[in-house]
Amino acid sequence: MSTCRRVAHGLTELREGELSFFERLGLRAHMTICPSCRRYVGQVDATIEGLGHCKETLSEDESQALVERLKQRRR
Amino acid sequence: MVDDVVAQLRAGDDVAFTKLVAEHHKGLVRLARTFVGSQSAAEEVAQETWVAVLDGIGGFEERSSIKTWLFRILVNRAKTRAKKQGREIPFDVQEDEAHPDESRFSKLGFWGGPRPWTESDMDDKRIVEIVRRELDNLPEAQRAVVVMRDVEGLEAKDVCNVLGIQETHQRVLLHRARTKLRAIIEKELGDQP
Repeated sequence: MSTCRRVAHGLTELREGELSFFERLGLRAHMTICPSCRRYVGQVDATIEGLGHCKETLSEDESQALVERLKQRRR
Repeated sequence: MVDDVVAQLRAGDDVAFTKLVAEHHKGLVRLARTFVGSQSAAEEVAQETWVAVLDGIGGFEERSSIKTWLFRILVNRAKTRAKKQGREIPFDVQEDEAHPDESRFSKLGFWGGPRPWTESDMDDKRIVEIVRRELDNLPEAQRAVVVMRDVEGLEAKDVCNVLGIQETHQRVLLHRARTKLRAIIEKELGDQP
């Protein structure tokens, strides 16, 4: 059976598919019975989701103005 | 479709190029800042990258997505500029860096877990605000990886390709960035013990 420390250390490896079958099984079994680790994993997931919302884009006007400047640079 | 964008750029389609610029310019600037430090230098590197894209699209061999190609051009230019500035970003993994929650585990490796966040916090704009603010405080290598993976949505293999690092390093840097950010959010949002 895995420990809480192993879950905290191995979560990204688990998500990236880098653990062996038995390591995956151990972590998943631990998470099933450990509410603290389920909470931890939920918070890491919420952090990743928050990161996904940090993407910023230019408005149409900003991008058109930038493209004009880029064209001038190329001349 | 990626192929369509490449074909459109090759045909000189301004609308397609403007859309690509709108989608990725801010991400390029954010990543460039990791290497060159200042916002103005990062903006300059991002603009040089777009010019290089326009100049080089004819020779783009499509062995990667255009997004990966774009980020690779940017990183190469940013590294060159950083070198001229005497800046070097170490992408090796510091083995002695402890997990941010290490002190909370018992000798046997168990813990009481993190403090809970309220339900409304879990999908609240506060998380985004904190993460956006704290991204800039992460060590550069961790920031570069987490920005490409979790903000810009590149695949692990593409991040390795762009930064020239091994998958193991990429994964460790990503893990450290995510867990540090989670710990910071917990400090600000977690119920008081």
